[in-house]
Amino acid sequence: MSWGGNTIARSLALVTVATGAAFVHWGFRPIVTTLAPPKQDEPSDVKAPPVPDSDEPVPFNPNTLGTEIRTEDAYQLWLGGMTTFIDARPQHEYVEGHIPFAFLVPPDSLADGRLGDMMELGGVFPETRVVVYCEGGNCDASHLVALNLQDMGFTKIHIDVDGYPSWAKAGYEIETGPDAVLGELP
Amino acid sequence: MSGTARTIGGAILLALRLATAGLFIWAATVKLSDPVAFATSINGFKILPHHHGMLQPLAFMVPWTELVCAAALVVGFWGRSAALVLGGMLAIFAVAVVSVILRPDISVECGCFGKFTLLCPPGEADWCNVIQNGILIALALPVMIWGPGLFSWDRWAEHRCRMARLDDAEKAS
Repeated sequence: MSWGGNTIARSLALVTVATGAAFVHWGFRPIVTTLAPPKQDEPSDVKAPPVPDSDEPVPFNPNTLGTEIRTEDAYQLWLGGMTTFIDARPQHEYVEGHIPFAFLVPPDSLADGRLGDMMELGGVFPETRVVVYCEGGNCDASHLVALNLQDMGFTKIHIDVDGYPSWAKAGYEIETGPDAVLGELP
Repeated sequence: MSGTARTIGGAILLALRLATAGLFIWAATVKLSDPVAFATSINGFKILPHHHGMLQPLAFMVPWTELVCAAALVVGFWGRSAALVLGGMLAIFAVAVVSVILRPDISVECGCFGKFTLLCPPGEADWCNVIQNGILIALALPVMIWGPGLFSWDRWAEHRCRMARLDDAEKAS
């Protein structure tokens, strides 16, 4: 047997078979679904969030939220003030604008112990309810950060699937500049 | 080549095939057991464009390609092609590590064998990982050049084809 088009064609066939197996595996067990649903608060922990600028109070219960939430629910959690927001976008996008008080933790920084810094410097504990967001759409960053949070013992994790663009478009509060608590990335 | 030399050559190629396949089966199993860690590792290399949405498919495609080609190497089925794919992947990984070394603002672990290491100490990807990939390519290279050898499916299939052709020729004459 010798080198030639046959070898290349067979190589491509092997890669095709592997790709098919990978997509079947991914389809049955995507990374996203390995994220556990958020744990419910203890009854005493449930507080009615303030709903400003509204004639009729809209009932909002964080315990009813699933893992993937929309920007409106994220905003309600933000108004409640008991939720930590994590921005999983690159630093330059965070500096240009982010949800106020959100920590900057892009997936690239996970290996540097950024989540550990957040817990230590930001006083965030695994019992805390967290919302992770990135650019929305196809971005995987929020899921990656969320899964790492889950590995660290966090049990109330939400992902704002609409991402920061939806937040900004809705006219909710934003702030600019580097992360005031964790500082800039190295 | 004499029969003895062919047998020794086949045995060496079989050993190289099994060694390479074993390493890749291990690497693939480790990656598939924790696709999140591998996806995080791929992301850390900052090679893929932003907003690509390919991270999760890649986190499955790379280990599955390693697994399929390693299985092919074990039995010597399309052995040369399997070795070529694995060698090509190792070369791509090596280029990715070099790109990290050349960008001092990035520090990322290799992730080649998940949380385990082979020849290099744990920590940031460095030249040791490039050399390690070079050694692994050297392991697969003889199979790329000479094929999977005597003790392989390919050789058995080739032998059967030859025998069938001889039978046909005999019947025809």
